[in-house]
Amino acid sequence: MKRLIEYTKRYLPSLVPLLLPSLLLGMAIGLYPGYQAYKYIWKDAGFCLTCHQHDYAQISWQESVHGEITTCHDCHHQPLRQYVEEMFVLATQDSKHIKHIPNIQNELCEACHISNPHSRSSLSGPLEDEDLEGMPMIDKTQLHALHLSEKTTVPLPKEFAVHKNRSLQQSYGRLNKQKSDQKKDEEERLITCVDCHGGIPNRAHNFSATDASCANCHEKTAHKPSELQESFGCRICHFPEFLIEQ
Amino acid sequence: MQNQDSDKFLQLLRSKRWRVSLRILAFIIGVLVSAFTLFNVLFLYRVLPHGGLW
Repeated sequence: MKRLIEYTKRYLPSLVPLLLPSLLLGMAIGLYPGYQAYKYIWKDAGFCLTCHQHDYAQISWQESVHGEITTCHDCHHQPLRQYVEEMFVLATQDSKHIKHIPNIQNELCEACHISNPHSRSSLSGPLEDEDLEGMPMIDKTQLHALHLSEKTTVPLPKEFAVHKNRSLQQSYGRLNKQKSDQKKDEEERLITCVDCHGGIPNRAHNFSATDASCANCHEKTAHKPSELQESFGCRICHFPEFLIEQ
Repeated sequence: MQNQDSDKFLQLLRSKRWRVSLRILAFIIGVLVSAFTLFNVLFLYRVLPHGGLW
């Protein structure tokens, strides 16, 4: 070892000009595979889907509007330490027991669905600026804007322990079958995106609002729906107002 | 003894075969280091704005 250090000290000046051109050329060429590796891991859902086989979650994402223009990392954000935590959890716990309704913050949706988002730096999918221009913006569509400015006392979807109470999952938001034992928080809070797009009927990448989501807050209608409401539900009439810009 | 060793090493270093091998090695190291560095820089550039380190 001592001799090696001595040799290095003595011959390094002659080794540097010998190796430098090859190193520089190698580095220049290495940029391409480096970028390709990053692109594959960060921008290609195929990388995640190699291990994360979620069956219906994967299919519902692929078939949704999001499946065509987004990839996993557009929405699945996490700090660095969670990459380590996940490996530990996967190695030591049975993933079948990890069931919960995620609580998605408005900011995440707003990255694409508001006119002037706080930040779009997190978007990584094959989404172009032109694609963003054609999207329904929640601040410009009448009923989105109205709902998001209103308050509710209904608990956030994450509060429903669906994995512990299956009957709750089945009766959530059903017209005429509104659960009377749903506890409501006394504290009022602003309505968030997940109230309609991330509730119990919206499991696994299915973000379309359902009539069950409406019934969860519009209790009077849910308890005593008119004949018209019972036949057609909510969205058949009110859906356009969520999409047409003011 | 040490001088003889040095001479042998110098001869080896100067031989054409050795120089070519060293250059190929340097080239491979360059590719790997550069690819790894760029990947990490871009990865962190994407990850950190999301949730930070911790």
